[in-house]
Amino acid sequence: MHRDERAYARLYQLYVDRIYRFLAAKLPTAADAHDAAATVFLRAWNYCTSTQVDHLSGLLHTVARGVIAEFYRQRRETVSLDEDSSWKDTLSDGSAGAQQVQRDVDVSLVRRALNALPPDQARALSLRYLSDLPISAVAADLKRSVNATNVLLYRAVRSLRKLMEP
Amino acid sequence: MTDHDVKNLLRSLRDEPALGGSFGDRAQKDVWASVAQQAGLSASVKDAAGTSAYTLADYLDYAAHETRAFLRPMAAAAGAAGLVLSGWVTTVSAGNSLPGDVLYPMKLAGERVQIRLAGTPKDRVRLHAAFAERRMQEAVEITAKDVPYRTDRMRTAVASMKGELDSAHGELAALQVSAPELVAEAAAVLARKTEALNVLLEQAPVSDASEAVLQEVAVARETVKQAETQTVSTLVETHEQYEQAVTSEELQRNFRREYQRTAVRFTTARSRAAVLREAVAALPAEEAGSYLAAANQAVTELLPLDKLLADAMNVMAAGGYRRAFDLLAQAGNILNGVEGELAAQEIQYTAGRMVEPERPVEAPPEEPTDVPETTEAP
Repeated sequence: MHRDERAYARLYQLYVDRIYRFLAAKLPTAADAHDAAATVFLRAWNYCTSTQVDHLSGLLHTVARGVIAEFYRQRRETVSLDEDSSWKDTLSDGSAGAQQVQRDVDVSLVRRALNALPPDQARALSLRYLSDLPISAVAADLKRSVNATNVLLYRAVRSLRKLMEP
Repeated sequence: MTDHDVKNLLRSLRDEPALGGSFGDRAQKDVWASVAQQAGLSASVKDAAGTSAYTLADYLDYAAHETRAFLRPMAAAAGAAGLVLSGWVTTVSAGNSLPGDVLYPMKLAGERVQIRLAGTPKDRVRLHAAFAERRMQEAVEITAKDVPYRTDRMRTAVASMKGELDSAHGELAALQVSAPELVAEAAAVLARKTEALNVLLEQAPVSDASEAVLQEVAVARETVKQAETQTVSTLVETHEQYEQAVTSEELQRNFRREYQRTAVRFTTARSRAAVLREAVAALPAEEAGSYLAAANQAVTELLPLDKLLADAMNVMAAGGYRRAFDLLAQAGNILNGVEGELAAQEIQYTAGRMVEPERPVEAPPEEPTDVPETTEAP
């Protein structure tokens, strides 16, 4: 890719939301997700300006997985994604009602289930239902056909349901 | 819980911060600002994204970038090819250079590299001998050319040739210790090269050369002669020590060559003495006296050569290589003295007889033959 700042800024606007969702689902705090997102887009910029890139979304997710791995390696402490204590602190305070508590529980369950899914299925669910992208956009992001994406989403929903059922 | 419930649940949680739902415009700008600061981009993502169309400069910049992908390897390949080609051209040019030329040191450097890369003393002997031949060719070429500093260049070439021959003999001596079975083969290479050097020397155009150049030719001739003697000496020593069939064959080959050369010189010297005697027969007695005395002296000095050559042949047949070559060397020394004296007498006689050449008598103009015959009038 050429050092076209304008093009990269537009791509950033297009992809930052889905990358942030990918990171937020795996990192303990919003601040960590922000920092990781900046790192991902900086590394992608450096890579794109020196190498031809055919599939930017794939590159961004690959870089993001590397950043997440680095994050946990550098922290040298196990952060349990199941507990999500950091996100709980930001989401609910002591005065929350029963509805909010139930919502927090759902979030925790969904995060845990998404992280337990195969990466492609988790990414398809995130793009389709959390980022609310049309099937064609999800298919383009995953570099699959629409039919293949539909099948993938079907399996992902069933897997998620099984993981969330008591 | 049905699949539909799962989808609805996901949709309902899309704004949850723990699932990335809190990433609004503010966060988007913050993350971009962080990226922009480190990458040197515009701090505002909206400014960076812009709305204006690309300019011609942008398109040209992009085209240059796209073409760079294949131009770079092409340029690298072209550069490498250029280097190889220029190196080849330089090497070829240096190969034809003579002492005193700009590229001559490069030629010598290339030869040094070849010698350093040579794996065995035998290979080094072969290379030194080949380079000695090159030096001799250069010397002959300088003799033929009208170049500035001809004598100095000639001296450099001859000195380098001597250096190469000395190095070859040094390697031969090393081979004598480390691998005596290879000495004969290496010495054969050296002997053939020294023979080639003699041929080159004979081809040197010395007719109109200056005294200094002639002197250098004489030095070259003496150097080659010494090299031949040294090669034979090494072969004799090796043979006396190890008595190998190969050294014996090589010595016999060298002997035959040297014997033949000496015999030819002997016959020629005798003929020259006879010619001188006949030439001065018509001169007045007082003038012819010194020439006749010199010719007779030459014939007298040549008398023992018959026996020397015969003895050398017999001793060689009996296996006395060292003695046989010594006898040939004695014959050669006698011939050197006789040839020198005869040459001096011949020059003196020729100088005394030199007269101004008579002008050729002009022939009367011939009658034209292509004039048509005149026909008589009826």
